[in-house]
Amino acid sequence: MELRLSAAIAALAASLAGPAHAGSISSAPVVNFYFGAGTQDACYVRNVGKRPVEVNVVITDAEGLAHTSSTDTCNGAPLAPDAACVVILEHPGGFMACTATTPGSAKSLRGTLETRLNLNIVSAQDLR
Amino acid sequence: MKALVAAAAALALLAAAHPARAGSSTIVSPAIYGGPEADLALCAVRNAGKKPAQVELRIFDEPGTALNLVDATCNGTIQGEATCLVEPGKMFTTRSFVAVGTAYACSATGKVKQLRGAFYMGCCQVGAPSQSYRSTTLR
Repeated sequence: MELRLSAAIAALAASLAGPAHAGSISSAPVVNFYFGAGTQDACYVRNVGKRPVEVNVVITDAEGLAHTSSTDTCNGAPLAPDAACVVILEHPGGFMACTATTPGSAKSLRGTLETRLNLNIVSAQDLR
Repeated sequence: MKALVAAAAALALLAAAHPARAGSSTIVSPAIYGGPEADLALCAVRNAGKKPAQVELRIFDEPGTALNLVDATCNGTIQGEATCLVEPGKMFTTRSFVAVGTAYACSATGKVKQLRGAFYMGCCQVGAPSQSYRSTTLR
């Protein structure tokens, strides 16, 4: 009986000590069929939790390819509570999506992806 | 026992007949009106999961009739079919021409837990594209 209890406690401890799963939130595709100057995508992510969180934010196209950003305040530094960051890229046209990934739970993250033409919003989708 | 085997066989046949619907469910948009110039409807999903997902997209008019597609783009490749095995991180998008002055909706059938979907109305079949799209989310 003692042996069984010890094994159960060990299994529980192992499960608690195991690596945390990465959490993520993703947007549906946004659309902009203008190609060229004045078109861009902006993905905003906000930490609504009480602790700083590391976030990896990436904007991808219909083929899942990540594009190089022109502005990035999200990747490389923890996001403070109540703070928001943004990744902006000059828009190559078509459908795009944004994903924010964090090492722990993504419960404290909120996000939105906007596609713009001359800073006017063409379409937008929230990350969830 | 025979009845159980027959039921299992029937289920397997049904699943084979509708691969997009085997073990799947549907996310849908509300009907939206795109404004006086909206003659184009766009439905798009992204596979946010880690496994490929078979998806069927359909765009409906107000009476509930599914529209013909102008085209569909599956994982970046243009095709004519309304179904696609969407790879992780990739998209499946469809376009239909619509009549001005009426509302439309979109549905996506597949493993919806890993899908993120949106429906757009805008212009133009001919000429410059919309400077803004009426949009809604599939859920």
